[in-house]
Amino acid sequence: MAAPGLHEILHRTRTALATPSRNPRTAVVLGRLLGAAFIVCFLTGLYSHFLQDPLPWMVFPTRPVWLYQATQGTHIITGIVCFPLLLGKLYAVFPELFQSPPVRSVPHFLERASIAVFVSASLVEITIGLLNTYQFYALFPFSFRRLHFVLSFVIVGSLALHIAIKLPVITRYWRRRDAMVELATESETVPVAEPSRAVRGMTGTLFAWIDRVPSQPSGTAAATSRRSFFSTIGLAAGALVVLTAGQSIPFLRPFTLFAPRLPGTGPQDLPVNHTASSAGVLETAAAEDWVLTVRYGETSRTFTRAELAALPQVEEVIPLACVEGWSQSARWRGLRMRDLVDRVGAPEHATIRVRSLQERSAYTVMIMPREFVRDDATLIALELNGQILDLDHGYPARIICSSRPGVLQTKWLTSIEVLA
Amino acid sequence: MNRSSSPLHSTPLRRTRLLLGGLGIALVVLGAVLFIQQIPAIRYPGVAGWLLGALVVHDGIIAAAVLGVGLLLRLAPWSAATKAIVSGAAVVGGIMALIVLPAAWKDAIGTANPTVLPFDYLGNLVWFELGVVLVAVVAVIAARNVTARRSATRRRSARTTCPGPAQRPPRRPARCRRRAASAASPPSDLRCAVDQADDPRCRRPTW
Repeated sequence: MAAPGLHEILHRTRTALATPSRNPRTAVVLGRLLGAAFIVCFLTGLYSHFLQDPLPWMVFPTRPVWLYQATQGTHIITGIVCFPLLLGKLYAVFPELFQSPPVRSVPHFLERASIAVFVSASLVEITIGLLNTYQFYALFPFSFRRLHFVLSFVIVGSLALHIAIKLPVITRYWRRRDAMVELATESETVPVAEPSRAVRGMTGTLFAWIDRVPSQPSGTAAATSRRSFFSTIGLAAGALVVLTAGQSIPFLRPFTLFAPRLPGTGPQDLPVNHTASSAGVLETAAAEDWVLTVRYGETSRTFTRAELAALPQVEEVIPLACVEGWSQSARWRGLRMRDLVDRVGAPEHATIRVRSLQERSAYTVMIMPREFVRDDATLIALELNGQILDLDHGYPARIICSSRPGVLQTKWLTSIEVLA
Repeated sequence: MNRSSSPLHSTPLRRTRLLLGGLGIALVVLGAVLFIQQIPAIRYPGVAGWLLGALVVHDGIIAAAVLGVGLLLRLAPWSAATKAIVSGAAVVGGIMALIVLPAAWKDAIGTANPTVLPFDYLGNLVWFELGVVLVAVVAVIAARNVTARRSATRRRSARTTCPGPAQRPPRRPARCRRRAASAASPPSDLRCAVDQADDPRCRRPTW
């Protein structure tokens, strides 16, 4: 099918790429870890997505207060761990890129095409995810949220398809003992047979040189090489987790060298995403005549900050958890949302629409479903860690509630509307 | 590959494969539908650039760099353990650089506020890479000492416990030779088998 020259080059490339760590067992071991990581990222990602864009019938758990902090922290940590796993997996199967003939049949073509989509989508997904935690939006000629969401379905679908296609290989190399026998008895890896004719010219010289270079040893040394391959991937993953996960896991904070955020920094020792200045609310939020309007149908009441502070206050420890993975617990003081909406006679099952002073932003308007409106840990916060809210944290009043992404913790409130 | 007698080709496995394959195709189709729904056509060139670029960057640059370093490492006159440590250090250092450098870049361009990217990423990366080099050097020295001590012990124990000189290669372990494997009978002395761990007959799972 393919020209003999191409066949020759592909064949010799595969031979040249052969190393003990490139075998089906390696691919299976890394594949199942990576597959599990992808599933974890997919599920935590979907949870985060639907918290922000719920389908009409959806109801979300409001407790424990650290639920979203945990799922989104897991999402980001697992996503970072995907880098060494995916690179290792691609390394293990790299010779397969040089199959010859490149296409054997229509199903073979479809399989290779689906692998190309799978690999490409996976690389893009974790890369844009990482860059988004750096807020490196300038590199995205698209909406991050939309592409990240859409690709996740392509990836998980391709993963299921890939497992279906490779299931015989996966079962054969699933257990270490069986894999050992398989690897010893049949060469599932790259064939070592000499190609029939020599390739001349530049390529020929290159391959001849590679052939002369002493290749990786076999036997125990090969086993050592496989072990060191897994150790390397494990060390890379471990180093990444230890040095970046402190933004989500408090006890790792002292080891944080590379996380995009560091809890304990910023105004009132809490990081900020949008400052009052970047949100354009410096004047409106600090205005003397600021009032919070609470409306239900015909009933409408306004509250000054002093009037809000005069209502029964509660204090709750609630983590602020960002979609970007960082989170930090803080002590919030204010009044319960349900107490406030009850003052305009809101029905038990009502959802609410919250508006911010921040204009022309995706988060100017926030819809809060019933279960969060009625939760004890949903506050109109006026104080943070014993101090009056900083302007950057949403002064005069902000929303804080349990187990929702930080982007929905609306700052600089201006109105709350009860929707029947 | 084709082993018709194998239980792998039994009905339950085929059913699992069909089920998974069907689910996979359905999800990919859902992804395609969502793609058309969510991504405006004007964004297609940008998305295509990223998807193709990812393949080019990985297969053309990262994999090629790994291959090049691997070939250079093959040439180096080092023991397998040293090569494993050096390549491991290169991979760990390389992956960390791959992940941290964009943060350093973005930090240099400027961030929305001081709490975004609060570290000196480039400086910390340099420290990290120095640490990796240090750990690798220590590991290489330790591995050499262990190897030296082990081969000394092996020479000594081989003199005292092995039944005959025929099964006791004095220095280097026997290399794996499949042709020889079928001819000879399995070694009886387990202590000696340690020296022949490469022999497929006495090989145990080691990874």
